[in-house]
Amino acid sequence: MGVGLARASHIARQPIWVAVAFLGVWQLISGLEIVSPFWISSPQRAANALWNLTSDGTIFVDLLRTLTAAFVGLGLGIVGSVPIVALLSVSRFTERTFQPIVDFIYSIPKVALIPVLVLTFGVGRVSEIFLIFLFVVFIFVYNFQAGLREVDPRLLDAMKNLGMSQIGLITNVRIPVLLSYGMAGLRIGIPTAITGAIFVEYFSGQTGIGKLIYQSAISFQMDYLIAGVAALVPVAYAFDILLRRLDSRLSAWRAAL
Amino acid sequence: MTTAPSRVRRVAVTSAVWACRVGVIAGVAWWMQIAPGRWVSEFAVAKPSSIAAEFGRQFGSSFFYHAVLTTVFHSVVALIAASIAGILSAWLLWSSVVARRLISPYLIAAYSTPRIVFLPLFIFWFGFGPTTVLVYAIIACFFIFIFNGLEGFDAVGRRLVGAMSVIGLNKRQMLGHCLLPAARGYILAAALVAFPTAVLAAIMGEMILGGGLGGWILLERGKFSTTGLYTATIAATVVGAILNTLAQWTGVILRRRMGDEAAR
Repeated sequence: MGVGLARASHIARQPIWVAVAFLGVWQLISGLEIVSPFWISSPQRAANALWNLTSDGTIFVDLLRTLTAAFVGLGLGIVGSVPIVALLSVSRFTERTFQPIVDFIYSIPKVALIPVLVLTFGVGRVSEIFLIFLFVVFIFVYNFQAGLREVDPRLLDAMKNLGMSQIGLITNVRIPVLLSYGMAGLRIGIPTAITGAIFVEYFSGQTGIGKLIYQSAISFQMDYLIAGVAALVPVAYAFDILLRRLDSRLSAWRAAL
Repeated sequence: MTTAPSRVRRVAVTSAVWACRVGVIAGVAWWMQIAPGRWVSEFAVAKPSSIAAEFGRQFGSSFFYHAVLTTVFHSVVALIAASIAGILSAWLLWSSVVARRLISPYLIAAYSTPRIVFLPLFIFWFGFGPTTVLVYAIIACFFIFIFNGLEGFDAVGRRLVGAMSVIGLNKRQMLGHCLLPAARGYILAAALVAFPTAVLAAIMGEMILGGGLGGWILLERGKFSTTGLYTATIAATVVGAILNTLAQWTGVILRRRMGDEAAR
């Protein structure tokens, strides 16, 4: 009896019930028209909209488009950060000269550049990807710089004295540290890249999940708006969980080295 | 004590660093001055001389000051509202283990979702206007306060909390006399991260909804004025940088005060 009660109490304390209660209350408020469904739609309508978008494949095409732009920009940002970090790390002189310029460019609200980029590259993928690149490149510059600084020069000297080669130093000391900082960069960079992609889609009206959500808002289709948001939330959550797991594995690997 | 040759060397290096910086900036400015219409489209790059003239014109008009004040207003109000909402929510979650367990997964899911997806939802509910900008900027900062607040409250030892309960403090007194003072370092750290976020969110919201510096950018975009766009962008950058610097200075002063109080 006691075990049964404890089990029932455990089941009742599962977070899923919050979602069930939320959806139930929402359906009730909307169904009884306590608040007009025009403003809040209803779970049933949102599910129908999501089904329509899923069955004709629109949601997948839009998600794929947004994520492709985000990840291409992210990849370019990671690659582009390497020469900047190299320039800043090559000597104290270059660091002193260029660090304030990099800091200034970093402080520019990059979203403000969208109109300039659209004027330069036109409405399309190039301006979108370039903006995402600008959004993320400095995140990796700062993370890789921090990673390079973290390596204790005395540790490097000790390794050299013990006979470790340059390649050994890079693979055993520098890369594990940089990977860890790169992972921290990814945890900030992925949501930032997705934010950049969606914002450009809002602003320039290109295809993608951002356009779907924005167009639904301005055409007063709350059910499609919620369907678009509902499609994106699990994707973003999945990336977050994936990166957390990768990060913990990487930490374990670093500790084992 | 530094010797004369080392001082000379230091001055020489500093001069070379400044010469390089000025050289890079002057090179970019020179390229921007001669490139439009010759190497790049006039729509893509604005001449520094035109930008300077536009700045001169804008400084003399009330529009510029109104735009700056609007963005500052949106950022500061959003920061204050998000801090109150975030800290109170953190306190409620900290007070109830069950509520925290039930709600945490949804909070993390919402936090990992780019906040920009919620902007159209707010446009739908609050319309095209400053309320939507404010709500969006509040949501952008809210999660920073709730997570830092929770971390700060968790850092307060349960033994101390138990002792406070024994001497008869109720939950509200506990918040005011024990939790908030103990977690103020975390809350200050949250505020320092949240303020640039609030400024950026305000500008992003304004770029869609109008008003403030973002609205100025939107206006210039509508006019296809490259010079206007560059001027508005530079203004947004400089104002953002000044606000961030002020926030960092305030943070340094507050941290120093906290350190002094802790030492006493």
